[in-house]
Amino acid sequence: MRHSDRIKVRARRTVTVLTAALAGFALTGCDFMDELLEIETPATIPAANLDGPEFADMLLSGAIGDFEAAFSSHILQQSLLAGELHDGTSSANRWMVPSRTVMYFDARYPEQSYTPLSKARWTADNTLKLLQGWTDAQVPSRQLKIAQAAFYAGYNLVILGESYCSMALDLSAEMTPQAVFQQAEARFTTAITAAQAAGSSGSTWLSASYLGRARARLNLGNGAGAAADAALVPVGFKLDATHSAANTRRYNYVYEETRTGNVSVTEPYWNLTVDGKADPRVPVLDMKRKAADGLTALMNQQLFLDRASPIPMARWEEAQLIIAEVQGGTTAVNIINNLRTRRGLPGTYAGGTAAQIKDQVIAERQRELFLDGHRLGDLRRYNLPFFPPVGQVYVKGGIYGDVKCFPIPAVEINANPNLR
Amino acid sequence: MNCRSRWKVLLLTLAAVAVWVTATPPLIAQQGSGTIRGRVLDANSGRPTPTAQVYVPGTGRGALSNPSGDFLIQGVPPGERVVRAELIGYSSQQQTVMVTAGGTAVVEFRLAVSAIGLDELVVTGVPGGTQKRAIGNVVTQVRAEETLAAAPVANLQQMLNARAPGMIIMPQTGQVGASGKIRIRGASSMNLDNEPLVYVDGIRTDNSNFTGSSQAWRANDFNPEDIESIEIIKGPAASTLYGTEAANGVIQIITKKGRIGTPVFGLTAKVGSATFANLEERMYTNYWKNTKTGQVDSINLATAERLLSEAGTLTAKGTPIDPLFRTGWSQNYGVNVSGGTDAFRYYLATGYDNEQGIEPTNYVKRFNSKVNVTVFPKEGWDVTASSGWISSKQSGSTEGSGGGRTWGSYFSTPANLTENISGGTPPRRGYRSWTAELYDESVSYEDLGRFTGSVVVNHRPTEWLSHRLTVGLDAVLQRNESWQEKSALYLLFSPTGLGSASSGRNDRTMTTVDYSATVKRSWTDSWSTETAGGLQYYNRRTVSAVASGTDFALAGLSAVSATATRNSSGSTSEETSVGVFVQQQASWNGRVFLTAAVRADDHSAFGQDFDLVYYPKASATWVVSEEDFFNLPSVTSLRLRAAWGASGQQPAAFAALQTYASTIGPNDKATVTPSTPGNPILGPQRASELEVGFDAGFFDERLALEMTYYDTRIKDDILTRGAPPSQGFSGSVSGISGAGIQYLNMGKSKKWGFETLLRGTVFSTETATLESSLSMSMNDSEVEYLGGDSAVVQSSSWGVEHRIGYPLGSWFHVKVVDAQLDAAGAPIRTSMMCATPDGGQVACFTGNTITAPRVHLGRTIPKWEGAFSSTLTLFDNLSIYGLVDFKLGGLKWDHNLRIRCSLYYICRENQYPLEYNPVDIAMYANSASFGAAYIKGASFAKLREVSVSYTLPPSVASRFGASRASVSFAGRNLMTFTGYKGMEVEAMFSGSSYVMQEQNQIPQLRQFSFTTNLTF
Repeated sequence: MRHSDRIKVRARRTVTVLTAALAGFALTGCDFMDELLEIETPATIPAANLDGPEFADMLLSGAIGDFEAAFSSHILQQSLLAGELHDGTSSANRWMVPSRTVMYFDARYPEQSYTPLSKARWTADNTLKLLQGWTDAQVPSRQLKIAQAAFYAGYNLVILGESYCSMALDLSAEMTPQAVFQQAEARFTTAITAAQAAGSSGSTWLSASYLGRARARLNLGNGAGAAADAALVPVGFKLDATHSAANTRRYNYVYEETRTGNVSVTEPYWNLTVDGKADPRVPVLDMKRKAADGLTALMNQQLFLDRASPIPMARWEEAQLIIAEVQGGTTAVNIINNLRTRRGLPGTYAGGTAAQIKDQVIAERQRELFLDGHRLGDLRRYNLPFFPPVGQVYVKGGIYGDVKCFPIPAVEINANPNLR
Repeated sequence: MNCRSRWKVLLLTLAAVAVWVTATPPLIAQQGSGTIRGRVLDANSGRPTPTAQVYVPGTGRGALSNPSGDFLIQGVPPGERVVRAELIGYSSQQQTVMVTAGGTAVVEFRLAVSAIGLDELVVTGVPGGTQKRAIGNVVTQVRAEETLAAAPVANLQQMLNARAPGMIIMPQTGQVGASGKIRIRGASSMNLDNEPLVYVDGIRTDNSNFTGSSQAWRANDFNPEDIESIEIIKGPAASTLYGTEAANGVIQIITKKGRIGTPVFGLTAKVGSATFANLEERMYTNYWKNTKTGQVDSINLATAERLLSEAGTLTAKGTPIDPLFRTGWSQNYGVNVSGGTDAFRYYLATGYDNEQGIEPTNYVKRFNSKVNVTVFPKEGWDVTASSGWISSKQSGSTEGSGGGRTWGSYFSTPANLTENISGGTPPRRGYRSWTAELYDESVSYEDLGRFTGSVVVNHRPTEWLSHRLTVGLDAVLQRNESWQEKSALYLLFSPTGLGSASSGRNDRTMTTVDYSATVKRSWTDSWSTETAGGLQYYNRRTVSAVASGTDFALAGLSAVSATATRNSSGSTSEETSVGVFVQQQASWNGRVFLTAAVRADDHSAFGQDFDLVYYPKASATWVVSEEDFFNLPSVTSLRLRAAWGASGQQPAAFAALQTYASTIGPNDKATVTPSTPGNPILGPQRASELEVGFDAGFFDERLALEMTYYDTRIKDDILTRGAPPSQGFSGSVSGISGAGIQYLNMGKSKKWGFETLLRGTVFSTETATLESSLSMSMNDSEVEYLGGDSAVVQSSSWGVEHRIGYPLGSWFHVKVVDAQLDAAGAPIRTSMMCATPDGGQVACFTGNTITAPRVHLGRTIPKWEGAFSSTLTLFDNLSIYGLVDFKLGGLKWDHNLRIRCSLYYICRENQYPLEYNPVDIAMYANSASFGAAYIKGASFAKLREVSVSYTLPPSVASRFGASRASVSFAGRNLMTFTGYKGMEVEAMFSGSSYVMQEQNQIPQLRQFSFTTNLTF
């Protein structure tokens, strides 16, 4: 064969092979082409894979985990706005909340409070909805799980309502705190019903839900209903949000920010006493140095002493103070003295006019529920003056403003079609 | 993922095309082998021209001319053969010779200078190597060897800076090893990455920027000495064949290959220095009213530290105090050998680079090696294997929000001379936070091992058919280490600081498989066609893991395993794209070229309900000066070109999927949390571009002009925003990129501009030649649609927004236009008036709340950029070179100003407010609420590069046994011309696409270097 013929043959052979390969690919290799696009996702789970009742426990623990990951950082934000804590950092993006000049477009409070709380509310509600759609045969202890999911959904709603000027749920239009408290009350009612159906295993959630509903009702102005629910909370009852040093997600951030000198307790909480005796409900330690900003005197809270310190969510003392607030008079005086003596303080409060007693109940709440995430709600509910006062110079720039609740943040407004 | 049936149609189409082109292939006869030898000379001077590429088209046979202009091509099939000679900067030439079996044909080429380089080979954005004349879009080529010989460049980014019209490089810090943002024709996307793709010899490589503590652009890892040339294509019109991901342009690095001939050895040695130019004049003087004396004290920390150093004062550690910043020294050594035969060619190189920054903690040590081998196993085949290995250790100093010497000195305070405003002892010599020696105790570096390798197989069974398979891998194995020991000094200044350590890996692996085939057919004497098709597969896999801990038991410990409290995190992501293309080109008489192509792509990041994406392109080019009728005075060559094409950009890896992530829950047990919100119809951002222009040579090709206008339309821009928290899938999740982020195809914008390059020989005599180059480009953009919104806020606190009717990433902030001060110099709030968007004024405050609107202040990315350079060559062996570059029209936020005047109140304005403009004082007094106080014009020009190079006479070089020897002395960043008052007009803190702001960065360093080059 001549050289030119060999080339001709080689060229035809090459093209024939290429054509056959392409045609072969086309006819049989479609799956292969798609397989090329398959990627590994070793760190994520497609949402559709978690729809089944076999994942009920996992979804419920996820909802509780989301709440516990949100709670302590939310407390920090509400305590900074409510004047329990000073910011101690040099980071200007942290100053809007403590100087009460926070606006909807600020980034930090949504990251620390609105977004994680809303997420925890959604996961609790989503788990509740799924549990309600499944049967007892599909999900063991379903009523107990419903009680838990409904309680956490209700609890999230209460603290959202107490802290935010307005908010949205499930892409809703703007909702007032009152509308949110009503939803919270409904969740707690669902939880109470389910906890009762669960029998003795549901007792913790029954008590917690009574207290939660009492808190919601107090915010709704239903004092009688609140006191009735609070009275059902057994002596010494306490439910904590748990924390751990195992992972940053599980930290108690009130402790962590204290440890790093990023927050400092404000002046009204320094050296509090009852009849000359130091008040153990508000333990504060003078570190005798400045916080991280080099300006703020570092006064450390001593309620939470490590990353794993639990934070009370609902406890009998709060229930008692709800009753005291609603019923006033001798009942309130007795409750105040009883709570004091249980903490080793003199039970010497003698009472006074109805207004004075109410003021004392508020003051007792301020101490008893210090850094428990109640103060902002109390300031708003009682319309109390904020500390430091409006107009006072904020040492790191500007003056203290008059913002008394967190606005619904830009991250919700921008992405929620019903808010635009 | 569902099977996508359109693949069948596409592949069948390709098969049909393949059948069609085989119908009646024209064949040429070939028999036996002979030799062609000859010379290549400059047509004007008659001098030999080395490095010309001489080859016999269609045979794979070729050679490069040596320093005497001679070449030898063996193994040429007998018969009448076309021999072609090409050389950058010259018109190519071809001649026909008769080759006989065992015989030697002789040919001489006299190449004429060509200013516009119509016959230069381009390999980027085209299926195979194609002459520039056939391509409808502009391709910028940077000749590495030429650039290195003239300019003081230490890395790829410095080599590119100001050498490609339309490409803007924005450095962020002067630290050695750090890089800058790269924007080609401005920004293409509001939220996605705007960095161009980087290819090396046809394979995709890691283009990540600002990685690790060194803030490096990973393409800077490659040794400039190993680069032959760089090609840059600038937008969708040119990058269509690269498909999704290529909308930001493509930079292709072509590495050196072996040349036929005896081994040639090259040696390079460079030493250099880097300094903070005019340190004491530029250092801020800061003020403080002494609380004890009531007097205003001031300090310039650079001066203060120098005086203490000169006085022999000791630090609290007992070590001598050094000047604030040192001179950083650098060394660079390289050796290479290349050569080859007909059947085998090689290029082997190795180099070592050691650069010091001006802080003890800033350095780069890099070893690299390169092996490129080409074999010709049989007729019609060649296989090139390229491999490069890089091993480096890079350390970046702490700066920006991390603190560091710049923080301590830029924001120094006299208060810390005599006391310590943060408590603790002793005083800090005026440093803001820690003293320099304490910052030096923080260790942070990255160890990098990188392999970049490819195999390219070319097969040309006939003259009309060629096909190529490229398979390559770029594996970047990066280890990041940092620690802060528990030292006595550390505890002294930071009582809560117990020491910490972090150890992590961040590995990226890119895999490329690229196949293409090209069929050429001649239909008539005038008309011929070229049909090409191909398939590409790209995969990128990223794995990161970090272990960290705090609290060491004792000083001297630095490992994570020695800490008391430990944490870990990690992530893995993978992206794959598959695409096919078909291109048809028709040419008429080799001077009119019409091209049409379409590419189809699929990507793993597209939503499951999104089908394939198609990117078409079309282009036309006409070398009108080769027409008989062409007769324009002084115009010796003219090419008109136009191209239109589309390209895209992919979403993030898991953006389309709604997912949960595994995390820690109650009782520290594993549970799940909502992660990515997903979007099942998510597709790529799509950009289409029209580009028109011309290349012209004037005055016998002594002057070249290149003009390009482009208009780019971007739609389906992937906007990202936080998912609505009320719907659950919101908020960050540790280790999950994109958690809580919505990706939506809803942005629309346009950008347009022009690029021009004028270069030529200003004069040329027997003893002196002056060559100059002027480039300039303009880029503008406008946001057109944002899914129903009028603006998307990129950064609320900095005031960067994408707003309809304005350029992408513009500054919007509150601006005070009138204010009054009281007798003590404090602003009176009720007097403060702010600007409104319509040019009016409104009271800034309502009560204590700022209610004035944000107004447009300007653009973040410069609108104009350009450069002017000249080389004066005397007596053929002495060259004097200089380059000035400029960027105009951009604004940046001077955060040094904000920190000094509005946070720490250490500006002179704070102490003597009545001597200054009340408007500035009023803005400074309100933290960062009035961003207009800090957003300043950042236009500038810099005398960037100057060098003097001398080539020793051959008689002197031969004394070292060298065939060529040269020395060069060069300077970099020598002068700045700007109205910007901040520390460094080019400094940028944020890695964000649009937030341009300076906060205690090291400025661009003034550098000098001395280089010796020897060739044996």
